Amino acid sequence: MKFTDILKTAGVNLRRSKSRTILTILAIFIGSFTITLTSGINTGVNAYLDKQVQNVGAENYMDVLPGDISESAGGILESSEPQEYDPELDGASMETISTDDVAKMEKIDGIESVTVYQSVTPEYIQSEENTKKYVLSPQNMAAENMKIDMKAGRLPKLDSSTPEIALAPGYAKLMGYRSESEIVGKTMVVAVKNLVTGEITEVDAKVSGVQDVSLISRGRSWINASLQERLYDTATEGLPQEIKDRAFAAGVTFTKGLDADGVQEIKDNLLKMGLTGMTIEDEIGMMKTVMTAISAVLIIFGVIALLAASIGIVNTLFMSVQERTREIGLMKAMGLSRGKIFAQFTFEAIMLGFWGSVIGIGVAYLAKLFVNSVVVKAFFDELPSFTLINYDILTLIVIIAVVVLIAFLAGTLPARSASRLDPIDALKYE
Amino acid sequence: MSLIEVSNVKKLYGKGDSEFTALNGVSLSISQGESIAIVGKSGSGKSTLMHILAMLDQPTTGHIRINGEDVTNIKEKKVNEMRNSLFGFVFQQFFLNAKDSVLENVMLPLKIAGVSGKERKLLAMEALREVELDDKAKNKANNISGGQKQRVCVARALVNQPKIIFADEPTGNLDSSTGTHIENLLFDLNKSHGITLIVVTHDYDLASRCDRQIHIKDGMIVEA
Repeated sequence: MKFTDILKTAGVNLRRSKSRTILTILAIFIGSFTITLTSGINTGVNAYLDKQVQNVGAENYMDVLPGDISESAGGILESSEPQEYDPELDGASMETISTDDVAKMEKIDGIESVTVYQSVTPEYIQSEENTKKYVLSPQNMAAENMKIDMKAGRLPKLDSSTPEIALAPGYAKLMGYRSESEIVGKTMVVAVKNLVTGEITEVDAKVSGVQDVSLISRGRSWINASLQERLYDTATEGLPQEIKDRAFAAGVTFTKGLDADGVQEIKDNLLKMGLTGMTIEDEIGMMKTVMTAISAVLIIFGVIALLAASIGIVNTLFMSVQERTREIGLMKAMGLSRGKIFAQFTFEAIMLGFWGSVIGIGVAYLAKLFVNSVVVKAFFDELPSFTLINYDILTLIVIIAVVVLIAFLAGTLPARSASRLDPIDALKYE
Repeated sequence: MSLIEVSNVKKLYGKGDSEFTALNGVSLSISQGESIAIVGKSGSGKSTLMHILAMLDQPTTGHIRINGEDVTNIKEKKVNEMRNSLFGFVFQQFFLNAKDSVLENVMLPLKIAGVSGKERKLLAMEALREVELDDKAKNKANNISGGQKQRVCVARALVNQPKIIFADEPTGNLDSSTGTHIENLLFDLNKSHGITLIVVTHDYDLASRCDRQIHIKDGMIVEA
């Protein structure tokens, strides 16, 4: 029997029992659809996160937080017992970064500059032309080479003596400007409350630009060192110098083009000082890990569905072998070899797997079109250039290959029993 | 030289207490173009003998020669090839694939042999003309009468131009007039094409039309 005849015969046999074939394909379809869609979401979200990292661009920048974050997370489980006091571990210094720490950081190999972030929460921001006041959450500019998407204008100049601010999107409209570009260059007042007297003082800030929406900024407005300093000084006037100098976090720039090992070395050195360094990639990496974990669970569900479907394949083909016992016996009597009978049945299984996965991918593709246009618009509208689902060809090919392989393996069982039929027994007539 | 040479063939089934002797030292020789009837009661061993002659079964001891070649211990692939090219089968229960067309049923042995689609069709139509059913080629095998079904089977047995046609109770499922028609067809093929005909039957009328009758009783050849 020729190869094409084996294929054709397998196809004809599947078409003979249409409803059974369709139901089996449906089961495979559910599994492969789930897997395709999940991996599509994973690809889409990860691609977006990667793009965000590229957008921010500050490859040679990391945030430094006091304390060992990995240890404090584990600490929840470690002990709730009271600990003995250790004068070496100054309670307050654990929570903040002191000028001593800054000096030490500057000595670490590879670190070029350190910027401290001192906590200051402005009371409000107000346009000079509008009486309404709005809440502002400022974010320190740490590196010059950040590539935040801007709707209008530019980021504040890091070292400029003019206090500058790049507003989060939305302020312009609220403050009564007709467009984002109209607010650029205008002067705003930012108000802070003095921590000692409680007196509210207004500080001028020039709008250098308006940002586009992104996952990184999350509604924060970027301010330069000059504005930060003025706000902080105003807020902490009258406090002892030592408390003034405490920072809740720091930003560190390191040598450009430093490789992963070098970055890790800096992190290790910071850890020895009780500080945790985190690059933007690390932060995005945490989101990616969560995303990957969720999709892994969903893909496992898909695989379970596929395994159930493969039992369906075994069942379908066993029924087929049973029904076609005489036909198989006759063909064997006429000289058809075991191998070709085996091939015929495994091809049936492979076809079931192939069509199930192709239909699954096809429907997943339609789902992508629908979700990306309707759902993304409804729920993720504030994230431009975000596509929730994205497929890459290689993954799709792998999915088809894996499903076909599973189907093939399932098919070998009934195919083996078909190929072993004894023609004399098969043609006995009771 | 004889076409088939059977020498002292024994066939045992089962082991120990349940051991059963189906054939107990059978020897016979069949020449090209002969028509042979294997006759016997059910359980006599006549079906086992046919299975062994048709290479569907292996004897426990003894030897079979086909065209002078000992086929007792040859490879499965060779057995399949020989069955496909040398033999045609007609069964009491037809064994047609009901959902396939008459033509497709007749083409099956050629499909197994790996003959190309076009030639397959040509040869099958020729075989159908031989049994005067070429006008039913497109019909589903299920939608023709019993006599026509058995004629399709004869066409199928004939299509690969075999040396031998094995007919296992070919008229057992037919009324006497259609049965006679099938008999005539088989003997015509035997006479005109020189195809050796080996018929297994307990119908003595059919058996008496053959050149030779081999009576089997308790696994042995006996005189009538």
